[in-house]
Amino acid sequence: MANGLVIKDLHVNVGEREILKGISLSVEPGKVHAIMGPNGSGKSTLAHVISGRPGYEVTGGSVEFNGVDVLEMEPEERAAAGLFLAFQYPVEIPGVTNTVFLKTALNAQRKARGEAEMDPMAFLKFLRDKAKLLQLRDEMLKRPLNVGFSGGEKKRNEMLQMAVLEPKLAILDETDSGLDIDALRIVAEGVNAQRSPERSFLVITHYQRLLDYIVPDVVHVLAHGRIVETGDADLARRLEKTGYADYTPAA
Amino acid sequence: MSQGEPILLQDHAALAAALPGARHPAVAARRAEAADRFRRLGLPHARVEAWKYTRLKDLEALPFARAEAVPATAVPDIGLGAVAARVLLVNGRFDAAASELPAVPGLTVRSLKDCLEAGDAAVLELLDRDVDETQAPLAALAGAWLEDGAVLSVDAGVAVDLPVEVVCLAVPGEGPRIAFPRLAVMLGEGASLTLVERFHGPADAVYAVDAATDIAMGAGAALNHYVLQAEGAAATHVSAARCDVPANGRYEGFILQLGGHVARRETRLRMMGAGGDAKLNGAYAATDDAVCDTTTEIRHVAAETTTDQVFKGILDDRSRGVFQGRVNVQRDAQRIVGNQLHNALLLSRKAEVDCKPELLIYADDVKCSHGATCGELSEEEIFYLRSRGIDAATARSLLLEAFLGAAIDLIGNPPVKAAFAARAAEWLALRGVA
Repeated sequence: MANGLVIKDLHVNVGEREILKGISLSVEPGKVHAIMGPNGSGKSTLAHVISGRPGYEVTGGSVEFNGVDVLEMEPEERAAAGLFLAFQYPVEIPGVTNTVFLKTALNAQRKARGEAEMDPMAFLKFLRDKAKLLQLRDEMLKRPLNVGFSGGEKKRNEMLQMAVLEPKLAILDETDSGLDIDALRIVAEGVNAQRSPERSFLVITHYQRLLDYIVPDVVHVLAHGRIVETGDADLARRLEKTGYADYTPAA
Repeated sequence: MSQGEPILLQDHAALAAALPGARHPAVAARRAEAADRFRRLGLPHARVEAWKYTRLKDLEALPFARAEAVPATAVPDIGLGAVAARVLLVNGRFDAAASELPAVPGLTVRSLKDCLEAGDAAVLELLDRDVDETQAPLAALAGAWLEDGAVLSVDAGVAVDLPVEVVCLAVPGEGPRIAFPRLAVMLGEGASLTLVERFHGPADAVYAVDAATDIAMGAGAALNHYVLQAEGAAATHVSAARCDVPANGRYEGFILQLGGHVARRETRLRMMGAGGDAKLNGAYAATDDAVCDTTTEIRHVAAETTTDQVFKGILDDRSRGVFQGRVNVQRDAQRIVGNQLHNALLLSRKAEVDCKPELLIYADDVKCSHGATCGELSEEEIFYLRSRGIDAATARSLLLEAFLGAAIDLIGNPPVKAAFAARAAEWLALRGVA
């Protein structure tokens, strides 16, 4: 059942505190949804819960991806099922080179799906071609994962991982934060190059700027753990003018 | 402790008379003196500062006897590829038949037994170099039973390209046995050598190894000295290397410790002349109730010498790691650089690491640093890998390999680096450390 991501009445706690208070959302294949909202509204929590990061307690509701219950799956099973999270703060891992990491990840996913592993020479060519599109130097592929990368390089490296792993749904968690305008454009081009009728995106951002480059089909506004408004790309532009003041609760 | 003759010196006087070179007064006196020293010192105890964290509890508890002369068993291959020579010491005894000793110009390999029989003055002098005796009861014990081992010499100006391997193989008999492998290395002026010293024994036999390596280098000589300690899980291993690094000499050491019930590797370097440089790095991993001790002592005797140390250790289950690193800068050793770093990963609540960096600086124009950290695997890193499709166990082993890899990468010789990295990875996979 290729009906994409379906979230129903999702409630999530961190410790005693309820962060998500009933989120419902459907992202069909091929669509780009944006989630905007003020700081602390629960945007990143939503991304983390979908990808399976430990530390969150789902107290109600469901998340399904193509008809399968995502919340029952381990993080690596979610990845093999086609979910991808581009981290807001990519982790540095000394001692594991970018190339070894990507090859291990890709082959682990292929194996989990019952596909043959990619042979090393074919993989290297495949990886170099993808890196070129994102203007990542070959030398960065040999370096330890994210170690010594600038903020922009880390985000481009996330896009490289996405390009290599070819997920069905990519969640971009504030990928625009900390990027200058050139890096932003490269990242956006990386995403746009991968838009296809089969692949959907959930773009989480605080600012409208990224959405000038990645034009969304649907925009949701998340505030205080709830989706308070849903519209098209114009909603994002309107928010750029008015800010989130309308959504702050009367004190 | 116990009255009378220590069990480890049983029948020493009678047996020593039949040991190689006993007819030379210098050799006989040396053994007698070492035996006296061991009688006085006994096995190390907690009141000796240098042994505060490591007890040789199996040596204390069980009646160890000197290991017999026996034929070699199979030697584990570590995939080093071509070597200049492979010397096999079985229970400390030079096994010429099982060794590979092709003629290499400028390289001489002899058995220590032959050198003792001949009363070789240069070899005796090297073995006799001053030992701080309160620190070295095991050196005294090995000295009392001095019998055999290997002597490697490289002529002045000769560079031996391929590595020379010295494999210390323990072949236990009935009951607990202790062996005393001994290695002497002499490099002429400007000579260079890559030496791989490795220790292997059966997985579950109770045995002990008390080994020593003495190294003499001529001015400008260079030694790569790589040690793999892969004893069986019930073994007691104590080994010590001593090297004086001369002016413009270069010493690069790496110690990979993956075996033993109680294991301790000591390295003592003295930086004797300007321009001398030493790198001493290592990695270790322990599980169950093993104790793995790395002790280093670097003495900057001369000005303008540099040393650098990086050690990484992984401790799982109830295992304990010990790192004692002393850097002693003597009064006239100005403008030296001495750096030291030790990082440990604890994988279990019951694992422990005791880390004791010591800087003793008597000169006033030096650059010295030391750092010590102790932590757990990062959940953040594990999740990052899992989110890309790598299962939890693979993620952990990738991170552990990477942790040790950061030290192993410092090995300058590529085939040794690859062999040690593979050995560490295999060990982690086999033990299911993750």
